[in-house]
This record gives sequence, C-alpha cells and structure tokens, in this order.
Amino acid sequence: MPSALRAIVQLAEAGIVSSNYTENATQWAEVWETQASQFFEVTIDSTTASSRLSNYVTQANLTESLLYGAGALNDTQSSSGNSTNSTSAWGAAEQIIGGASNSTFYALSINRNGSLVEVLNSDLGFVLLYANNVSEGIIQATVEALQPYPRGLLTNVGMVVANAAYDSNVTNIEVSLLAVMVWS
Amino acid sequence: MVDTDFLLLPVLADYFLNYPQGQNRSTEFFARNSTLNQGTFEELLIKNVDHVLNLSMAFGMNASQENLVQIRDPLVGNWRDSGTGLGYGTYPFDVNCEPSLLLKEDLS
Repeated sequence: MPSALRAIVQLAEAGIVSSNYTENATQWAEVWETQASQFFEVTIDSTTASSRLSNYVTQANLTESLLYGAGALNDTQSSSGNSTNSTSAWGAAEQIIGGASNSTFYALSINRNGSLVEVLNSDLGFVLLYANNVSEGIIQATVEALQPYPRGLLTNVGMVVANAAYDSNVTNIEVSLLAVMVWS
Repeated sequence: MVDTDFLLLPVLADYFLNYPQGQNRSTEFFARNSTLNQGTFEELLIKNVDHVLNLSMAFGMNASQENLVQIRDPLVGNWRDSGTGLGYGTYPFDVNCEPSLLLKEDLS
C-alpha cells in the first residue's frame, strides 16, 4: 500500500494527476508506512523458538542437524572446506530468530478474527523493493529470515516462500509442507 | 487479486518521473485512448488513483487492524494464489505493507 500512495504524491507533484490528491495521499502514506506492519509482528523468545524448531523438524521428518551451523546449506558449506567461517557466519546469535533475545518476525497474514498466521515468509522483500521508509524492525527481521532453512528461508535451490517452523498453530506445518515452493 | 490494485502507480511514477525514456512522454501517453477499456489512459489512471485512495482511507484515518486491506477472493487473494498460501488469513502482509510484483514464472 504505502508505495502506491507515495506514487500518487509524485504524480501530483509532477502535474500528471491533480494536486488535490497530495494532501490525503501524503498523510495516509505516512500512517501506512509507520503503522501497518506492527499489526503483523510476532514476538518469540529463545526457548519458544528452539522448541518450535525441534517440533517442526520432527513433524516434517527432517534431521535435527539442520538446526545447527549452515542448516539446509550444510552440504554447500562443507564442500568449501571452510567450516569455521561458515559456522560463525550463520551462527551469530543476533542474526537468528530467538538467538540472542526476543525476536520479531512478520506474520504471513492476519485471520478475520484478528489472530496472526505466524508463518515466516519472503514478503519482506517487497517492502525492501518498493517502500520509501523501511523500519529498523523490517531490516532486522530480514537479516533473521536470511538464515538457512528451517531456521530461516534459504535452501540450496532458492528461498522458500513460507516456513511454518515457528508457528504456534502446528497444523500450519502440514499445510506449508504440502505447498513448499521456492523463488527461482 | 487485491495486490495487483497497488502495482500500477509505483511502476508508472517510476517510469515517467525517474527513467530517461519516460520523461516528457506522459502527456502524449495519457491522452491516448485505451484499446481494452473505454476511455483515455488518463481516465483509467484517475480511476486507479481514486481506487487506491478509497482502499487506503479507512486505515489512513484510523490505523486499526480491522481497517487494513482484506483479500476479496478467498481462493486467489494475492500472488500466493490459494487459501493455504496465506494460511487462510484474510489480511495479507504483502498487500498492506507492500504488494508483490511477480510473474508466476518466478516460482517453481
């Protein structure tokens, strides 16, 4: 939303559309930019993050070793023969969801009743592409999402579009496993 | 898909205002008649501007969760193209925080 409003302001300033649009579009863009993303915030602490990850790898029939080091990228990293660097590059606590302290990520969507669909997702990328004023929270969440799956979204064949590993509603795990897709 | 409602204006503004190829072309372009819809491109542009402002107004005046934009179709709500793709939620993150510019061919 906010970039469409910013575009209206730009088009009005350039005289392509009426300047009557400027006031509302400017004011509402500011509100959308600063206040929309907070409704999607999911805060998760270290203990909860690690127990949900453990449950996820079990349910998804994945190996626990994915939760350490380079996770789903382990094979790539070990073939480079530089395991020390790769461990520290992926392992810094402040880059991992729930790694250092509480983390915030952005829900995939909000249900009609107001509850959050607590699924990690790739759509932060659209904010980075379009938005004019990107919040610190979005940047931090981007860093934490760019971790190897299942801690984050990265796999050797591309970034997954969604990852339900941290979802308190574990039925979403099954749903997301049925529809795992990657960006290519 | 409601996300596509928000895609035209950022791209259009970028092309006509920031790209050398687009500069000084807007007057001529917007005067042309559309071949698919009735009216000039300018009239269609204004329709989209009014539509975006209408959808943004409620939250712009009162930033509450209920005033975020909801999907219109439960099956093809946004680019994720399914109810399961959104975890059955009705207010998508991308639509409200920024829409996606995506071709289906980008996904495998």
